[in-house]
Amino acid sequence: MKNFFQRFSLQSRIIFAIAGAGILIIGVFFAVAYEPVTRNFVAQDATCNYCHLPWEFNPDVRLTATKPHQAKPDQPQSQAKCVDCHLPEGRLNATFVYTHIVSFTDLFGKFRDLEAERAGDWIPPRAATAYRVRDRLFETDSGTCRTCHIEDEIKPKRTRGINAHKLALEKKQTCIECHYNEVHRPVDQRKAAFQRPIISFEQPPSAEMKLLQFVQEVRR
Amino acid sequence: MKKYLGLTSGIGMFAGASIVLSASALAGAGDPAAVDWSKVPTTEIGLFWPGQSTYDYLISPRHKRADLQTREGEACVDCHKGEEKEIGNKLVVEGDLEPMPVEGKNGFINLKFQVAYDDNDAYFRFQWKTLNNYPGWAHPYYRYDGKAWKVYGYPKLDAVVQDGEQPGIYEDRMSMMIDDGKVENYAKQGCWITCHDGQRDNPDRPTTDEVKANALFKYLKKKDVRKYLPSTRTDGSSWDKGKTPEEIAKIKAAGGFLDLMQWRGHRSNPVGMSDDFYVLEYRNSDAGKNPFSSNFDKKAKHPKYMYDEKKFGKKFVRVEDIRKMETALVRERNAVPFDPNAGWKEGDLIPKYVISREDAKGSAADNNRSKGVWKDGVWTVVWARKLGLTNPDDKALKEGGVYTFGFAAHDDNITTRGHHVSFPVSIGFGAKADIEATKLN
Repeated sequence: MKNFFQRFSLQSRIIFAIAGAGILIIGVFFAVAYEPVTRNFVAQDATCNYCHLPWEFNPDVRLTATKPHQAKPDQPQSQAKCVDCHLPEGRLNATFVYTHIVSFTDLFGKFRDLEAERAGDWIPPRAATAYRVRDRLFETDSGTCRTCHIEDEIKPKRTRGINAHKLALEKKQTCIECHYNEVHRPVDQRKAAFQRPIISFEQPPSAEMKLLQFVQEVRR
Repeated sequence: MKKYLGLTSGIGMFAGASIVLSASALAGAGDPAAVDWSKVPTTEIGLFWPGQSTYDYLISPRHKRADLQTREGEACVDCHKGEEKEIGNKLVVEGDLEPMPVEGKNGFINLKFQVAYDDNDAYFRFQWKTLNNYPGWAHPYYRYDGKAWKVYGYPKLDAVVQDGEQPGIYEDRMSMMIDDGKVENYAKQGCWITCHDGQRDNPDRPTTDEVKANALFKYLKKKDVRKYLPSTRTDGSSWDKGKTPEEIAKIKAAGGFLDLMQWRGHRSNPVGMSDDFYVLEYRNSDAGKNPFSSNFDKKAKHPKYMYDEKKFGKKFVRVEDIRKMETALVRERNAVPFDPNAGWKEGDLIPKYVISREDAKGSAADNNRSKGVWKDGVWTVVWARKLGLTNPDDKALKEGGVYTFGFAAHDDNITTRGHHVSFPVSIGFGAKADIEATKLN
């Protein structure tokens, strides 16, 4: 090992050391600080609203200056940030902020609802955006909701809430299937929303179906 | 007080005749009043004020967090079980779903319900407390204003009543809506699937001209929108998107309609009957004739019938009479053809409808054994319906069958959506259900 380093000049060794330290720092940063920095300093509400203008929000409902979506139970005036709902935990998810900011994902037609357009429908961009976000929450079992709202701790006050939550658990429904017009300007849900694959118990489930069921169980 | 004595004796005669007729009409086998109701279990059913919670509202985002579930056929009680009183008390006051609140209206009625059957008939008994300290047996009248006969009294949701231009006058009612499992979602969502925007007293009501111009309503020769099933509309909801008469006929032939029957305090009770309708593309009368019809001669512009003074005590009633006595004009009992030269005075009243048990015919006259008695603030209505009816516009009740029922009470001078309604309940006749009918020996 000693002979290995003696093969390089002092200058090269310093460069290696600096490069190594840089990689180490970046690695440590990526491992420890990348996500919180992205979440708290890069993807601030102001950054999001630079494009997603305030008129996208309904001034009469929550996540506005008048009716915030309360972020902390003991602080009525605390307001959830955009990323609290729209950015799932994880470093890879944090990277989405940067690709989204530079509109990289939009290059692939995310502004449009290609599926609907292929079916002959025209979907307003605002609605297409809502559909996409809802679909994403459905696929991830409303993961961002659950970072704050713990199922076992939800105690609805009204009978309908108690019944509805009990029913949702029985039917293995996820938050977004009911709570989908909570924050932004209301957008009617499309008829084919939140479709689960039809599982037939007449025949044994396929390998794909088994995997899907497994993933869903793990998520819960 | 003396003023009423003569009239009271007339009332006595009329009431006596009424009781005798009703008793004779109902007596014997199949008489619902002869059932020993003390041996039939009573179920309490919550009836609540629904406001304008139409089906269109329920499948819209305004029905927060439940519109998709409703579209997919989720049952109302899955979320709202046990909430009848809370919902009724909330909706009865002014708000998003009640733009025309009725002063003093209660949000909830506790209906006591019993059901039994034997080899031939089903028997029902309803008891509910009325808001007023008088029975709702009055109904709009024609009033002579010194020159002409004009309608007097309207239901309390009408603007003319809310504005104080007319008194609130309308009969009390008890309604049953029945399905045998052939109407999609009725078992889960009950009568809400028949209640839509565009109907009377509901939002987005079209003009008469708009209704008349619609192809389906032109075919039906109707000028307003009433209850209908989503299956009769091309988009599953809108009043003006009717399917063709041929398509609707196929739905009916397959049994995809609801039976709707109403006991009426003024227009059927005096002759011991209830009416018989069905809901499909409209709220249609069964074939034949119901026990009531208009009492107005459009050409002559005056009533067709007036009271027979010899039998009723006088030719007319006055406003001070209508809460104290039954004022039904029964063709075969207390009516004679109207005499325009009978010395009419301003304020004389003659009922807007003439009633007849004899004229009721066909499938529309199936419910010819029902009777209500109001005592101490409570209506008690008993009602028999033949099992195994074969009319194409009836749901045949049979032993071994389970049926979904919806109930509604119109109380305190009101009509259309101004009722208190139940969530759907299943009733089994010799079969497992929410309520199991008692088999009589």
